[in-house]
Amino acid sequence: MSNHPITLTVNKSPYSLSVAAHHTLLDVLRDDLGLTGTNEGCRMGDCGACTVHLNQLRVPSCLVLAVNADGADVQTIEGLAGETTGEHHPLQEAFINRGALQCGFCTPGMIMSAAAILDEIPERPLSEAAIREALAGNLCRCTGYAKIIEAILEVANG
Amino acid sequence: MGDSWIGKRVPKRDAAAKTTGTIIYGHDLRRPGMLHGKILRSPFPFAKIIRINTERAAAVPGVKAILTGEDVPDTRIGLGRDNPILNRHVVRRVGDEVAAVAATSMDAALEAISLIDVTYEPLPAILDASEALKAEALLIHDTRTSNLHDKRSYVHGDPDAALLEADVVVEDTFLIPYVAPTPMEPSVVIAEFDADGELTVYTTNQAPYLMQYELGQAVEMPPGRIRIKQTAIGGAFGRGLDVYPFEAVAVLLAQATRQPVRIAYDRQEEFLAAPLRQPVKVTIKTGALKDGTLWVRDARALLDIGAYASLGTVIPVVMAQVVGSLYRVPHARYEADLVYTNNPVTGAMRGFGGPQATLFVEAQMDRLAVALGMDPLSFRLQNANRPDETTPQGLKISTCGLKECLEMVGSMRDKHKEPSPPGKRRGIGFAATLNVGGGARMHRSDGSGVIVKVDDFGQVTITTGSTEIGQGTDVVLSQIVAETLGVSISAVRFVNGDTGVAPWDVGAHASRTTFVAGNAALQAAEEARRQILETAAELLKVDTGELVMRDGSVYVRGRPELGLPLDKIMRARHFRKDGQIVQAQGWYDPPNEQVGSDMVGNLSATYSFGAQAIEVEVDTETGQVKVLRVRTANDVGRVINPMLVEGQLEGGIHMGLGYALSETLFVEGGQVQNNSFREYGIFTAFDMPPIEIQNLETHDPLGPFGAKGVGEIGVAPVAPAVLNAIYDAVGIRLNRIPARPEMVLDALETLQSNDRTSR
Amino acid sequence: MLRPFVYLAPHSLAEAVEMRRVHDNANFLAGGTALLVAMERGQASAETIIDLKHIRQLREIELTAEGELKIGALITLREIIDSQLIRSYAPVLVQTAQLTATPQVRNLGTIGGNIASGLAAADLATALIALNAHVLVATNSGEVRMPLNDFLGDTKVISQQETRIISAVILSGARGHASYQKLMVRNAADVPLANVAIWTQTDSGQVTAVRIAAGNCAGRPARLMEAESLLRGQIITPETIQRTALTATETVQQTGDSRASEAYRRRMVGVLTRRALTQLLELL
Repeated sequence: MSNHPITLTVNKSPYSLSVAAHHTLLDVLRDDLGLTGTNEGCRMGDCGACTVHLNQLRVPSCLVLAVNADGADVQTIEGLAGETTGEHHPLQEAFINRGALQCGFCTPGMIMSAAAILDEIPERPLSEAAIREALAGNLCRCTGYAKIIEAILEVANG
Repeated sequence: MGDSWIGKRVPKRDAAAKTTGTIIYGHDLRRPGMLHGKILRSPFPFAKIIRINTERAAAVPGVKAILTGEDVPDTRIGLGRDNPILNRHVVRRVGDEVAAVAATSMDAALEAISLIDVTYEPLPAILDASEALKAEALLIHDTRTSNLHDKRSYVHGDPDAALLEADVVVEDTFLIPYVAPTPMEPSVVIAEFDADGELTVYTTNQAPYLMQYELGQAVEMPPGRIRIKQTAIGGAFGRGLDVYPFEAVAVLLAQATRQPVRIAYDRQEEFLAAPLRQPVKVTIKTGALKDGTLWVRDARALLDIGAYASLGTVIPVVMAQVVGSLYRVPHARYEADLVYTNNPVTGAMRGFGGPQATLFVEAQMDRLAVALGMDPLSFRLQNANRPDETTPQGLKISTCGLKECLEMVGSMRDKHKEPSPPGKRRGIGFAATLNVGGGARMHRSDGSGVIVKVDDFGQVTITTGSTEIGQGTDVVLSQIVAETLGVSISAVRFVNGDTGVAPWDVGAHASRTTFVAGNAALQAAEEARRQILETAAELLKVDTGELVMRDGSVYVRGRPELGLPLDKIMRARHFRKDGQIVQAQGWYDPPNEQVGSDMVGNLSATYSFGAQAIEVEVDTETGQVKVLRVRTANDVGRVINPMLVEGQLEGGIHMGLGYALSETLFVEGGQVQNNSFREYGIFTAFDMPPIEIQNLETHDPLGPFGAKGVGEIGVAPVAPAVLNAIYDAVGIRLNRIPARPEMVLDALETLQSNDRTSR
Repeated sequence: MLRPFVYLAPHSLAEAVEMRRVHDNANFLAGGTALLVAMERGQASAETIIDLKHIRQLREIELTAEGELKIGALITLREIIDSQLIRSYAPVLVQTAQLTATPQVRNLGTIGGNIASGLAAADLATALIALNAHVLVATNSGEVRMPLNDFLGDTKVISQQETRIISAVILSGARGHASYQKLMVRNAADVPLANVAIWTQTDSGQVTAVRIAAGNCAGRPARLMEAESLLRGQIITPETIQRTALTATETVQQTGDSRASEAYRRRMVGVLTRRALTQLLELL
């Protein structure tokens, strides 16, 4: 087993860590940094529950070796509200008020994806079809996505 | 009176914690000194265990305990009490538990597991239920005399005579496959003993009070010394209703090491080891009179329950209910053989037999209508269940809006149907559902206890044994209590998930929680209200009958200047000679019946109904089926929270569409071959059609504020409505799901070649 | 969970090749979206992971002096979608990338990884074969340039014992039109049931050059030569489209599995061939 020193900026805080080569960014966020808002749903990049922003791009953190992320800027669900003046990010607000969650396990990844989509697709009004396609990497077993789409539309288009 | 909390779109109480990632799921929880447990599982569907050597594993640094079958009690766990905790002599399925390790890190646990040497002697595996019943088949459980686990049969009327009387009879054999509940959070457990030897189990189980008892039996501990604590649960859908070997293994590893032990599945282990929805092979005949009267159903099912008897063995009760009571049917029979094989264990999954039975019953309703020369919707309307009617099966239907629901979705046909694009054909299909809506007495008690405490500051705490798996018990009970006490939702705290603190509840299943726990909460809140008003009446020197509770205060009716805030009343009641606090309990056990072996009886205190219309577009070149839109109308009693009701329906429809079209488990050699989401295929947001929801609000006399259960009615009608829509589009009748492209195209070709030969 | 391995991060291709030589059971890491999944699932193992991320030349997209487009192996699917250069040079690659995996995975997965993963129906590899892409491959004995089709099929060009690192994909400047067609059960995130890519060059309506590729041909994407030669020299019409599609179905080698039979896949290759050509007809 090999260990490697890395630095990460996570939610604007700098970290110097020693990580095992085979531990993923997901493992390090959850186990070393205690940021358990990023959830582990499959470890195969299929479900999107572990979606974080890595250097401003949304990625499944289960498919990134922590050592490979050395020097990266990472944003997780815990850091999203810090982007805004309110207690919650507008997406969080909309998810709460529209009932866009049930068990909630997919929710942090879903919101991180949604936040990225708002940047990725500049067109406004943002179409429902575009959101649906852009959310294909985030699985939800509870909601049928209907209220999730409503919440994102609300934030995108006001 | 201020705004009512009933019927409001109130967010779930845990919504902020869930959207900010601060809620703690089982997978998030870490306990001081916690070890990581891992189970070694059988690669064979059926084999003798000749020898297990753990020497190399024990040498791995960080390993604290290794257990094999010899080290654990020779007990059995699970509903059928036939599943060893760790197998000593034989393994009966791929994934069967053989040995377990606890180590200081997951890496060490995995390393150790890989170094346990097991010598197996493979046996000829029985991977087909019919094979299992042959005389020469090996016994999967040698304590039994046959691989037949059970035979269930239900009958009313005289089906044999009725089939002769019927003017039209259709007969089909349906093959309904495995699917997996796949909650987004895989299974997890943490077992921990305290210094006094009391055991705490942190779990995603959805029936914690049953777990307390079952786990006690399995690990040979008095259940009273076990405390079950539910973490936040990342979905369940029935997976968490039984108790499984891994949970007992965690306890025994914790016992062996005197340290907390966590066992957390990853997705692959979840697909391998968690129970699947019961597959069904069924031959069914449905007959009608030429005037359109549904006359008889006769179904014979073969259920491959897998290697152990979990909740898959109980679904005949629900299947019989659909066969016997969905639409008015004077003669009905349902027989099922439940058979052990070396296939995956089958368990509970949303709908619990309802999706399977509704599939074949509703597919045949369509076929029968066509055979009668009737419109499928008119045929359904003619035979729909009616209010205030007891079915021959003994289901006492009180409120019933099935007819209205069918009419609501039926109007989807009236809208202008866009012409199909070239190479595509569109069609609309219907199906209805009947589901328990007032609990379901699967256990001797169907009860639920709630404590409502009002403290010196006017803060209300609900303590309930009911289980929150995402469906929204937290906010529904809060709304009921806030409404009754005239306080804001924010003045209500919701506490659940601890058998050491909260009163008993049978668990989150059968769409029961709003109805049963809701009634208990209502009862407790009403008692708290009585006590509060008693004190307020003294303080205000009026009769309690003149008092109203609203906005966190008690007022004299018609005299708003004469009011007292709740906290003042509470302190006045408490801090005086012979002072009292307010802590009221509610206990509700619905007036329903546990059905016997004949499967006759009023299983639920009320029933929910729904109907769906689904429009599909079939690509006639590729066989791909695209769902264009879904309309659903449901009688769920009074709606307490529209957002939650819609969420249950939308989620159920999502699960039903996957069942109908995409979700596929390739089980070969007793093993799920495709243990990943990418290969399993639940619908993404990109696959979901728009869903239009219309709720018919009846007012159920027994439901809290008139509510009935809604958790499962979204899922069952989806697959038959899709199959019926495919028929409407292209004229093929499918007897299997999922309707994957190749199957659809094959059926289209067969139809075309039959057409050619008949011409 | 992944099992432990040694992690190495070379800064040059030569260093990477040398590392592979001295470490047994080593694997190169590009985007990780195939390799890490295979390792997680126990379908691949590695005692050593050689991460290519620090090799800067693998991250470049450049128009060469010869008028070729050179796409570094570590260019991600997302970068392909966003690249104006690739969009103008080979728009079909953008369309193909958009149909590959999921948006998150596209932010990690790379063009080189898509080829090297060895997936039988790899989206990009199928489209790249139709485009007659070449690959630059670093080996123990230096850099080799070869057609992707040969790289995937012919093990004689580079011996099995040799280390192979795809460093870049090269597209010639030949003008033409291309279409990528993919059949899935779901609308996204699925492994294809069948996939076809077609590139054509026409002169006053007549097909002067054509390449048709399908995935899942005996474990790899491959050319459908018979269908190509049937179309070459013809004018694309509903009739020639129909005949080409029929030939594609009749001659393509497909592998059946539990998700779809061989027969179904062959038929779908025909359907997708027709759809691709119909689309190309509209573009012409």
